[in-house]
Amino acid sequence: MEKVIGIDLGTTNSCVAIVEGGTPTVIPNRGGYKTTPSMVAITEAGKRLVGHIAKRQAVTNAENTVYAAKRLIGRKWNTTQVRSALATCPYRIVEGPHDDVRIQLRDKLYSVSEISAMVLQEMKIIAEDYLGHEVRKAVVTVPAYFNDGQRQATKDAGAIAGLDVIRIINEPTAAALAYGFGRNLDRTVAVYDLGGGTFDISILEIGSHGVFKVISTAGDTFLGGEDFDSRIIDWLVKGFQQEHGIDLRQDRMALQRLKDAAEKAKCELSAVRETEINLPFIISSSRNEALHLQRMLSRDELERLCNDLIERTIKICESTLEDSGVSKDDIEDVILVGGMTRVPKVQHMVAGFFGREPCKGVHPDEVVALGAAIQGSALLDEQQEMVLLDVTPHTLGIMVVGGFFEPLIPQNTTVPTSSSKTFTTVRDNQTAVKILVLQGESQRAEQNELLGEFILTDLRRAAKGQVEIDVTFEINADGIVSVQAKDLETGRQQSITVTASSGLTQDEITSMIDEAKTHAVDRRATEAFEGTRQEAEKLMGDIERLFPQVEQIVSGSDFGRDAIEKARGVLDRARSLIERKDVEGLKEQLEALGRTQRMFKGVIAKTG
Amino acid sequence: MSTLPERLEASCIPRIRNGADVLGADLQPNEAFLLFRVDGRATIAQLATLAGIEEEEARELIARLASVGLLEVELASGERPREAPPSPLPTEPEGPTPLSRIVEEVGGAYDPGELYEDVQIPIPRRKQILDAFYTFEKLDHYEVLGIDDSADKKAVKSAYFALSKTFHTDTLYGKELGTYKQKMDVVFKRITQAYNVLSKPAMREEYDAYLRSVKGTRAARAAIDAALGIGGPQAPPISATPKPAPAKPSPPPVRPAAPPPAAAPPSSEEARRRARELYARKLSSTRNAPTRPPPSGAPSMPPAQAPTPPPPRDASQVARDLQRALVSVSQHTGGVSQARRLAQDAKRAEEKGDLVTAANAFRLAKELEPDDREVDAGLQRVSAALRVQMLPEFEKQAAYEERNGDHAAAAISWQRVAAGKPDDPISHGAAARCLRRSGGELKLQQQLARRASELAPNDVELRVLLGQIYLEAEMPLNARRELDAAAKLDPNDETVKKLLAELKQKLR
Ligand SMILES: Nc1ncnc2c1ncn2[C@@H]1O[C@H](COP(=O)(O)OP(=O)(O)OP(=O)(O)O)[C@@H](O)[C@H]1O
Ligand SMILES: [Mg+2]
Repeated sequence: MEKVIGIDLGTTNSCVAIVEGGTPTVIPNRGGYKTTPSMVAITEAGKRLVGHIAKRQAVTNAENTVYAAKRLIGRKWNTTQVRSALATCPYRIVEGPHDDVRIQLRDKLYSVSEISAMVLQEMKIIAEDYLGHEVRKAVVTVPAYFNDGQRQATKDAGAIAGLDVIRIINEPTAAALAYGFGRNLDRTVAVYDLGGGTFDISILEIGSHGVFKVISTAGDTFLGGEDFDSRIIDWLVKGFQQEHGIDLRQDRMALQRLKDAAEKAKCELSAVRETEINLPFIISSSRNEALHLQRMLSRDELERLCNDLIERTIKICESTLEDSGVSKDDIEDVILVGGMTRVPKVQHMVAGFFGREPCKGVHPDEVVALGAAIQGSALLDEQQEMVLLDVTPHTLGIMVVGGFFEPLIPQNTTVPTSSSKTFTTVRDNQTAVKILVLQGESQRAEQNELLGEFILTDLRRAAKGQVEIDVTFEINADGIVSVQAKDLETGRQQSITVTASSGLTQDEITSMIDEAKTHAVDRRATEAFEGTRQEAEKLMGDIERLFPQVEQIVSGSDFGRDAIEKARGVLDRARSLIERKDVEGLKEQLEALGRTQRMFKGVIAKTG
Repeated sequence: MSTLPERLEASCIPRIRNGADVLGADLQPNEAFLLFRVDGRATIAQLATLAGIEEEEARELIARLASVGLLEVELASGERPREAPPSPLPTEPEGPTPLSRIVEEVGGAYDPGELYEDVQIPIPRRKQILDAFYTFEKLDHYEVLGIDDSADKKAVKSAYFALSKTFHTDTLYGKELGTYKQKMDVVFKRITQAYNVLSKPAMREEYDAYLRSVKGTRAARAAIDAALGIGGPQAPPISATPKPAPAKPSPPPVRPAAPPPAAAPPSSEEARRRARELYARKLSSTRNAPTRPPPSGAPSMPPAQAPTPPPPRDASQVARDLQRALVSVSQHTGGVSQARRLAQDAKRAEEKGDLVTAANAFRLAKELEPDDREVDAGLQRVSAALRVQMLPEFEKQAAYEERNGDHAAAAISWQRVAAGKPDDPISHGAAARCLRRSGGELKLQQQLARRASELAPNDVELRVLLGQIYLEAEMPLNARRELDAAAKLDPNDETVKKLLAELKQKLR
């Protein structure tokens, strides 16, 4: 059976897992870490860095280091979320060609899907290194509250990374899957997932037949650890402004250092009651003297700064429970997911709300990837008796006259699902009908998310009211929407043109796939080259060190002068091979280098 | 007894062996393809042509089918085996039994083109899917899940979860599913709908009340709808011009697969009962034991844990019995005098105040004698009285259906209410609104909304509704009239402002 990996593509950290011999396991990266920062950078030399290495150089290369790209994926340019990212991110966010978002790194523009693809590709390589063979198939997770555009963009990212994304599943659902896997449970659970960028709450029923059914889900795709960090940064910036009259936000490097320090302090305060934030030489004053930032932050202060954020998550929990028709007493276990659930106040408020202590058994950083891997193997392995029944988080509908939103599929409907509606022509010989498809909970169409304009074209020419088109709106198990139309009288499939969608075009995706491929090859080639280069450089170092001595000894004879010339040629050739990154040539050259080195050593030994 | 002649001539006529377990047989698609064209009349040569295969291949396939006891082959000379097999069906005393009849007898008519579609699903699973797909529409939520109406929460969950594994397409991930994908999706949606209602106490209680109301008024509805011409959800609504039937796509024949409406009042009690029994049987056989019930024997005996206990003899039961008795009598005595007798029965019932029985008797009489003025007048009179009597029930049904998003059913129920209360703006407006939501005819929407607005000229919402309908129908001048009136009634209404703005753009 073909292997399928599960990838938790997180805002802050990503994680990859696989089911091996029936056991789900997280795959560590080369550094031995089970999660990899979702960070991407382009160095001055144009080199692409992903993961820990990108994080390590972020302070010195803030403008060209992307973090939290997930907060931008699938979003339109003209949204408050993008505005807010523009104000706080040290990297450059610019408007794309489809009312979408692009990120500028060095002199190139990247779509957000491309950035996420780099992270996915990294996770793919981590799995491949571990397994020792290529991996093509993956299940990728998204926040449950992601809309169609965000899901589609994540799927695109998978394609660009050279992955066949066989399923997109929701993060809290994946967590529940890992929680219930192989335990033969029969209970109702709540999953509270507060990560770096998003918040999700899901209520699920787990049945003894291996069926996992989501009853309801809700969330906020712009609420997570990043917002807690921002509150701390604001607090620091404000304090600094008061003290020195300088706005630290004006300096990208200072901003990046503040961000690191804020996150570090937040994490520390989960364990201790007070911590010091210390950033020497953060900026220089107008009189060119170095200024330092040094402040104490207490847990109480942090809780005061962020209390409303936690309150917001609790409010969402409350309304979800209400929608689901499940009472608090029916919840038999509460599962905490995401790094932010390590914050004591979060744990405390969640426990208070549900009236029970959350379950301790799951690892908040790994459980989502494990669930994704489990779902992948359940799909491909016929022996696995497990079914996941998820829901659509948003109401799907169309715009009707007056700019109103007419719901067709309500939120929390189990997927796959579909709804049909008949459209008729209202004018004689009308040949096209335009349908605006939207997602959201507002009665006003313009306040909901536009998924696309579907135009039924080439309609039969007939008197008005004579042509009836049956349009089916479908949401598949990925939570992705598709639309099909059929002429009721002729039974003919009706062609549909989609416009005004903010996603990438097929052409764009194709060219991005090609580019990502060359990078994968490039990356592997680089690794092989690095090894050979190190070996070659070691030999070259030896030769160069001995060179003056040997030259002195042998230059008396023609034979000696000849040998010295040859040795010089060997070194030059090796240098130019290194410059051209010619691995094959360099490998061959190793032999000549080795011979020269031995010869030099021999000369010295004989005379010395 | 050998049924295979020495030599299979192209002119030999194969036929299905009496009692052969055709559906239980392990067949290759090409064998099944040929087998389902065997009708006891076509020769091997003709069958080859029908199936589009070489005669030689047809001969081989027939030989194999005969060797496993599914077919017997008549000799070319035309002489029949001396002992004609007793036909299983008295209605067709002569000739061999066409396969379709056998299939039906075994339970559930499978379309061979459908059953043997080129997909990667085991045959028993296909049958489960087809059974569910074609019967679910007629079943209520309990019947769909195959549970008793006293089943507790645990039993509901367990039934639904077990069925999910049969009908969710993920359990056949990566397999070629063909038309089964859409069927599975429809069935899955239906069981999920049933589960969502029955697993929540409040919703279940509401549904139970609705179900009682629907069951209690079934006979009355049939009579009333016959008088009004609104039949069932499938029937055309009042004054609607009948639509041309959608052209059937070429083979394999595909039955329309509209998603079943929520607990649609079934079209005929008899069909419903059959569907229920059939499905319950399938369900119990797939759940407990893989064996099918014997094809013959007591065909309509429900299994031990039949989902529905015998219902009390309520009005609908009475009417049904009456109807059955009358129909069978009419078949023996011939139409005309029977219609008279029915009309008399109807009048007697009417005098006794049994409007349901009276209305149904008139309805049947009308079916036999459509042009009889007196019968028609009687039907109109009685059903009008019945309409008023049933109003509270219909109102409850309409409200429930609308609340649960079943707009098509609600539109019909509201029309029933409107017919009983011709001066009531609320029901007319609601009928128009629901019709609009279910994509019903614009013209009928217009009529209902206009009537509602006439009855309550100061109602802003009704004006807006009518305005929207006009706008959609591209009748901007009418729309403007309504919206202007609405704006006068409530100058601050945001909706009206928006619509007027849109209208202005359109008129420009
Ligand atoms: N001990 C800790 N105390 C407080 N916060 C922590 C701790 N450990 C991690 N975090 C925070 O958790 C967040 C990361 O959590 P996680 O890795 O679950 O998010 P993610 O999966 O990347 O994001 P998302 O699920 O929102 O896309 C970061 O904001 C990080 O600062
Ligand atoms: Mg996460």
